[in-house]
Order: sequence, then structure tokens, then C-alpha cells
Amino acid sequence: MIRIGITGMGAVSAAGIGVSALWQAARDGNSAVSALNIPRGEALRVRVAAALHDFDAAEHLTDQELKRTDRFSHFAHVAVNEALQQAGISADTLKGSRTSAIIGTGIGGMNTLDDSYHDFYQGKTRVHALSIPRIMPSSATSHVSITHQITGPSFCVTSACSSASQSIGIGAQLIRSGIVDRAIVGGSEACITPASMKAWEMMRVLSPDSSRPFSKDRNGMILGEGAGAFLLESEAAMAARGATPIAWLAGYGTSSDARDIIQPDVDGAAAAMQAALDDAGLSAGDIDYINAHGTGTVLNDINEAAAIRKIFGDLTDNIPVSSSKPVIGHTLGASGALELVITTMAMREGCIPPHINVTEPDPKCALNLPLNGAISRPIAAALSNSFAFGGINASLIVTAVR
Amino acid sequence: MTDQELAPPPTTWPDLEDATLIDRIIDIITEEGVVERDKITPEATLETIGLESMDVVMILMGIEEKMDTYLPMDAQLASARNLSEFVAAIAAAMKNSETAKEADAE
Repeated sequence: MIRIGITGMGAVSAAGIGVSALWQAARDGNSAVSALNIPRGEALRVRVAAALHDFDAAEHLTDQELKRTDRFSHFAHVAVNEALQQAGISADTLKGSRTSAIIGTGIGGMNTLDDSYHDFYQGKTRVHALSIPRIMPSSATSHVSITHQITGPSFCVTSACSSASQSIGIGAQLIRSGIVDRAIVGGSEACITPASMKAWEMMRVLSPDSSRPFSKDRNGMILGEGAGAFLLESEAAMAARGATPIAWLAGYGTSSDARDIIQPDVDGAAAAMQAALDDAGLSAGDIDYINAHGTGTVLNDINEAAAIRKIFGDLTDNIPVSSSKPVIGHTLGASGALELVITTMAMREGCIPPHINVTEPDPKCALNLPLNGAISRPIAAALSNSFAFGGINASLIVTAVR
Repeated sequence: MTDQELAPPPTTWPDLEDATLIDRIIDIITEEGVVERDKITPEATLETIGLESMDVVMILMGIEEKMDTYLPMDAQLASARNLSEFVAAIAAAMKNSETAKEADAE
């Protein structure tokens, strides 16, 4: 079996630009959720989000690049560059047909879509000339491929909130299969627009105040935005350029509920976790930390807790579980990547990030939640979950480099 | 919320500060859920009157339109065992929302 190393990570989130800002917020339990005041947002009931208020894309992309890219591609651009920088890979080694680019997203260029529709229905006949290439969900991937001259297989995985986790998993499978030597993978989302917020409000899954996963008084999720990216490489590719991994991407499992478009399913979620364990060749007892999907919606949290217990049994009482969503919001198609960055940092630092915002743990989702701050503890293997509307589940396992 | 799991579900409408609120909520359930009014009793369950999760979402939208209050799905709403508890959960969520609005205004 070809082992897959993570050689670089990048992140853009409401906590700021960079892995370091993200990890600090997660480790310290500092929520980046704040009041939201966006243009044309007068009709919104929910006025909180985990948004990047001061992100200036012009600091990171050229004028030409800005013309053809949406905000979600900007986030991906920045996160990918950070990952490549950490990996220390030369442009020459990276480019070509032996590299793949797969950046997942739930929606794609929602800001461009929202602005274009607004202009069009206002009677403006000249909308942005490059609306289509900015909006298409694969545009972040294409931007990365063009920027870094990646000519191997590139595509976008879109599976709502499992998009990033599946992108990372499928990238690893491409490497294992021998189709490519390395893959730039991750997810990006920029969905905090007035119309998009309203649509989420209509589902009644947005909390008007805060995300409190596994808390008895939880009342929904908080929308977030950002991007997470990784460079994955085969052992041989790393050896050829003298690189060492920061962690192993040891396991990927995915499953489909095949049941309901909204309601999650215990068996489906559990199947993804079990498949990830099997893929990694690990058993439940090997997992030292679980980064939960933990959205703060009534249904997800009960379902996920039951699925964890189905796989981990009595071990559930001992394995610390925390959700990153109270800190960086639910970043939808980016969430699996940003949360795997946090999970990997937790493992590297030997520090389990706290689970914040719980007023009273819900006995219906009994888990071992680190409610009193971060816990210093060695982590050899950690699991990160993503479960999406439509019943698409994905779990990833990272293991420490010894 | 008390340990409602232990107590049997209530058989009468909740005792609210504003007694007219129950009728207004029932009006919205009738309209948005498309339920015959005489089927709406405190002891009826959501299932017996044919309310599915999408109908509950529609009812919460009706509450927003008619009462100017955004209510997300919370645990109390989701676990209501009959219409009495469902109405009580809506009233409680409305009260929380009002309290939050007042706090924001200050």
C-alpha cells in the first residue's frame, strides 16, 4: 500500500489568514463569529456569521486574476499557496501531469451569482463578462491548475458539506492508484451573501445567536467562509525530493445514506467512520481524538453522537470529541479541509482543542467533550467527520509521523 | 425545560402570560400546516394530524411573517410530544427571541 503524506497545509478562515491563526483560535477556543452587516442584507433575520470582514483579495491576486475569479477562488488561492510554501516544493516539481488539483466546494461562486442576479433583475443588461467562469464550482480548481501549471487530472468534488473531505480522500486515492504522484486538495466556500443567508434561514437551521453543538439549548449553526488546502504526496514522491511529511493521511471512508435529503442517518455516518478505520488499518481503540462534524443543529448532533457510539462503543466515554464550528462557523464545502487542518495541528501539537459554547451537555448526545479548555495529550491518530445534506458522509484519519 | 421525558405529556394547552398567543399560534398551524382546526387539540401529536418536518418549517415561517420573530429549530421544538408541547416550545422560543432583541437594543 502506498502511504500518503501531508507535506503542506494552508487555511483561510474567519480566524484570519493562515494555519497559525486558525489553530490559535481553535486551541484557545476563541470564536471568530461576529455581527454581520452586509450590503443588501436588510431583510435578514440572522445577523451573525463567521465571515472574513477585512479580506482584501487584491493583496494576494493580480488584477487579471481578480477579474476572472470569485471570492471562493481567492480563498483557495491563498490557502493553496500557504500549503505549497510549507511543503517547500519547487514550481518545476509541482507542475505537469503527475500532479492533480481537486478543490471542493458546496456551491461555487455565490458572491458573483448574487451580485449578477441583483444587477440583472435591477435592469442592468451588462453583467460581469466573466460571471460564468467565476461562478462555476470548478473555477477554484481551474484557477489553481492554471496558476501552478498542473496538467494532471483536475476537477471539483461537490457534495455539500462533505465536499472538502471527499476532495481530500479522492486525491489520496488517485495517488494510491498510481495515476498521480501528488495532489493539491481541499475545499473552499464563500457563501455569506444576502440571498444565500436567507435561504439558510428558511431551512430553520441557522442560529440567530451562536453555534452550540451538543448543548441541550442548541438552536442551529452559524455560517462561515474560508478555504483549507493540503499538498498530498506519495512516499516515493516525497523521497525523490527529500521531503518529510507533517502527518500521514492514513484513512478515508465515505458512504451514502440513500434515505432523506435533509435528515441524517446513524448507519450512514457510522459506515463512513468504519470505512475510514478499515482504510487506515486501525481499530476504534487507536483513535485518540475526534473532530466532530458537530454543526449545532438539533438533528445532526444527536445523529453524530449515536453514530460515534455505534463505532466506538464504550470507548466513546474516553475519546475526546470537539467541534470547530463554534469557532469558525460552518464553512460548508470548506469545512472538511479546515477541520482536518485543525485535527492535524492538534496531533502535531499534542493538544486537544476545547469544545466551546455548551451551556448544558445534551444527554441525548453524550460524548466526552473537553469543556474546560484544551487538553495536552499525545495524539497518534485522529478522526475528522463531515456529513452532508443529501446523506453523503465522509471521514478522514490522520496519523502522526514517528 | 423540566425533565419532560419523565413526566407524561400535558393534556391541556400551556399556561401562557398572553393567553391570546395560543389562538394566534393555532391559527398559523392551521393555515401553514393545512390542518382542520377541530383536529388541533393539546393532546394531538404532530404525526396524527399529519404534520411532517417540512410542515414544521412552514409553520416557523408563518410565525416569522405574522409575528415578526425568527425561530430556528431547537431541541424543545424537535422533541415536542404533542401539540401542547409544540405550542409551548414556540411560545418559549418567541420569548427568548424577544429577550435577545431587547438585549440587542440596549
